[in-house]
Amino acid sequence: MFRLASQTDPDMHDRLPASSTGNAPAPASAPAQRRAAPVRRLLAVYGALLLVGGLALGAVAGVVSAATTPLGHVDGQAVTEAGRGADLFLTSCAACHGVQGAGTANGPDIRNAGAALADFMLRTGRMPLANPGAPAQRGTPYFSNADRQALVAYVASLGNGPAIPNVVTSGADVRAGWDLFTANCAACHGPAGGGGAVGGGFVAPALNKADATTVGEAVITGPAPMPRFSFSPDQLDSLAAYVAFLRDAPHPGGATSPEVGPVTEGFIAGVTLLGLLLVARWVGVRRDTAGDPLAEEAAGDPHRTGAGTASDPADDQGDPTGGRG
Amino acid sequence: MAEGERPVDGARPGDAAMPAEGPASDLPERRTELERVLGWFDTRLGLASTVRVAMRKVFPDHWSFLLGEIALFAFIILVATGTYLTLFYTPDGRQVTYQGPYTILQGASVSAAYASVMRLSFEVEAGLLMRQVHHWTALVFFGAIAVHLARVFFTGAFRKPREVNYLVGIGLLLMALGEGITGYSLPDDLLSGTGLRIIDSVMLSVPFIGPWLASLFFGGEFPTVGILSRLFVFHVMLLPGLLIGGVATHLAILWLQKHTQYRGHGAREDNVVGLPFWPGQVFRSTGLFFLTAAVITLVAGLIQINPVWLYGPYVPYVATVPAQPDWYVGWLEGALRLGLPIEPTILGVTIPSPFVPGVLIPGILVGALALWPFLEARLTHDHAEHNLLDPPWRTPIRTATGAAGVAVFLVLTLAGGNDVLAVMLDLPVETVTMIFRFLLVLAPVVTWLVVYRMARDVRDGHERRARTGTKPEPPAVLLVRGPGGGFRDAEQEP
Repeated sequence: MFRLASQTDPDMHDRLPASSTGNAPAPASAPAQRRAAPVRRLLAVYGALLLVGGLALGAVAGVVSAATTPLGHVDGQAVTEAGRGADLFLTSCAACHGVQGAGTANGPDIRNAGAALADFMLRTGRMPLANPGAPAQRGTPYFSNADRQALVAYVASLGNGPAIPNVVTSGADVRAGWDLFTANCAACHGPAGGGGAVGGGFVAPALNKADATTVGEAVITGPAPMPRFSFSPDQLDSLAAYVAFLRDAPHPGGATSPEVGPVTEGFIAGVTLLGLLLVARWVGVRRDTAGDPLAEEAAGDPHRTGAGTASDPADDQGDPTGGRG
Repeated sequence: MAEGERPVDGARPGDAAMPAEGPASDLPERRTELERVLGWFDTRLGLASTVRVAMRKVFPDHWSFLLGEIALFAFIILVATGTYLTLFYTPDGRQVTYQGPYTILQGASVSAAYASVMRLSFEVEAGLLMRQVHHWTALVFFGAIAVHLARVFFTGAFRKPREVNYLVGIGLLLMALGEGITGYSLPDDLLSGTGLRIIDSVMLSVPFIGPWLASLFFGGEFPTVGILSRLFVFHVMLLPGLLIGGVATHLAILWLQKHTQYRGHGAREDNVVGLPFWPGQVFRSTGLFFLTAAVITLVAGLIQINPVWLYGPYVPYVATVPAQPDWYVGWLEGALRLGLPIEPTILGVTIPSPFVPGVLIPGILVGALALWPFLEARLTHDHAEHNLLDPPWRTPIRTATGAAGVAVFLVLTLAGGNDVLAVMLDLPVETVTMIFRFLLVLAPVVTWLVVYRMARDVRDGHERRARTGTKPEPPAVLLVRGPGGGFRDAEQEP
């Protein structure tokens, strides 16, 4: 029910060479060129802080926006919004996706992306890209809520894509969500949603910032290289509920991180071992502080009167300090 | 009494019955109750003189001799916590319905083994703490073994007459690896099963015998229900038994041959300078044991490890990421990840791609490590006994070779986490893998050359000073206190 039409480019975020500009009009005022990478990074950090601080707020906002915005193929109101959306599209999106959203050499055809994918990309700050080759990663949203909704409505009006799903986690079956998650998601996003590398330079993002709507949008649209899943609305609710559960998952064993796994544990074990080495160094004697010998096993031991002493006379004289200060 | 005066063969029990050196007429009626009990045992077992000698065994002071003790203590903690876990663990791969308090999994079909680990984690008193102490200790155990091995290797403690004990140590390391791998697999969580699947693939890749080998080990074609009970027998009976016997042998040979020691402070080839066992080393070791247990328990009590409830039970068609073994198996995992995807056919026999990185390369590495004492003796024509240790700079070739080995181990271990590193470094995982492939060749060569040059320079410096009779001068710095109260180097311009 949520399947996109087949001509949508699955490699929506493929890293295309920046040199091949194709036939795009490429207005100079495209936001991509206006923003320098460091500023963007700062913004991303700031946005991350904001998001962590106001997760609950964000979730509420997401649900509200999804519930109150008449997107997709509703005519009346959408036309007005799409008018504003068309303007924004021309200035911010058409450089890569083409004036009609049909795609250029720099960006894929998004005519059938639908409101779901457009909202996913814009609301999580993945679009617009800093430049055509950049990876689409979570960042600070570029557009205000009103602008985004207008843009989403415009993109939705371009073709026949899925609408923004209405994902409600309260009362959802979290156990079913666990089942779905381990079977379909953990292979890339990790058992605790910590994310991971999936090859080809792509990274499955950590899910600790993904609200219910974001999860639902990603699952039904499959932002490349993620596959699309044909889940029922109930399944989407369950899955989003489990992702929300992971965010505050109980960790009875003590401190933990979303990146659970033996690599993290190995590093912590290494630090522990360093601590133990310091303990041993404290318990034992460092040669430079050693005083007089406390005890000495006498000569004459049958195991110590072999060829060793005779054949290696230089050992003791070679370095009177013992080489240890 | 000198350490060397051990009872000669043919001495009868009771010959050395009296604990004191005094004559037999030394008021025997005033002996305490304890002495009477000990005397009773001694007239029957005749151990007094042996124990007296043993009590005076001298332990070198230097802290690096305590590294092996940390490993020993970790092993003791592993046995103790493992015994507790065994009381509640069920080595049963048959499916049951989970009914425990972890609500997310209620009603899920899991193996009885996984259910018992969940019960250990959420229901058994102190079960999770014991699990975490056991697991963290295992991670530290291998670290302690590694640094102990490094100390032995880089100081030449493996030389004649200790080659046998060195081999015993290598055997212990391999048995410990077996313990680690089987222990990792027992909870039957998703990572456990993934690890077993990899072991299965590596076994299958052995030419000629692969399928038989895997079938013999797993009791059929993977996944088998019976594998957990097999692993359990290895983990809690066979390997611990072998380890305890091996550790006893390791220590007995050490006792018999006495410690090596560093040069200086009266140390000679024919003596051992340090603390006597009683009343010295026994307290140092006891203290170290409790400190080791304290540090590990602190970490285990505060930091979660192996949350099997998040991974979920093993289902063959399910996977998770990042999927790594515990760090001490990381070098084997790394070798597999760096292995080239080629399957040559030689004389009609196809060599599956896991064979070279999974079997051949680890075999060569372990073999080289085990045979190094004999290799070195042959190369240097040094067949003399050595009880004094070399500081690493004295033997540039050995030190450089060991350092190169460490470099290989490090590269392989890091490569085992190539996907995690790829995310950290913001690079495609394929690029990281290629970098590690080059590093695997380059790092040991560069390390060898650099370490060799460094060790040789230090050695030459020492030899030059020994020839000219000058002692190494510590760099003197004259500090002058200025009017503002600050200090500055007197030889520098203000």
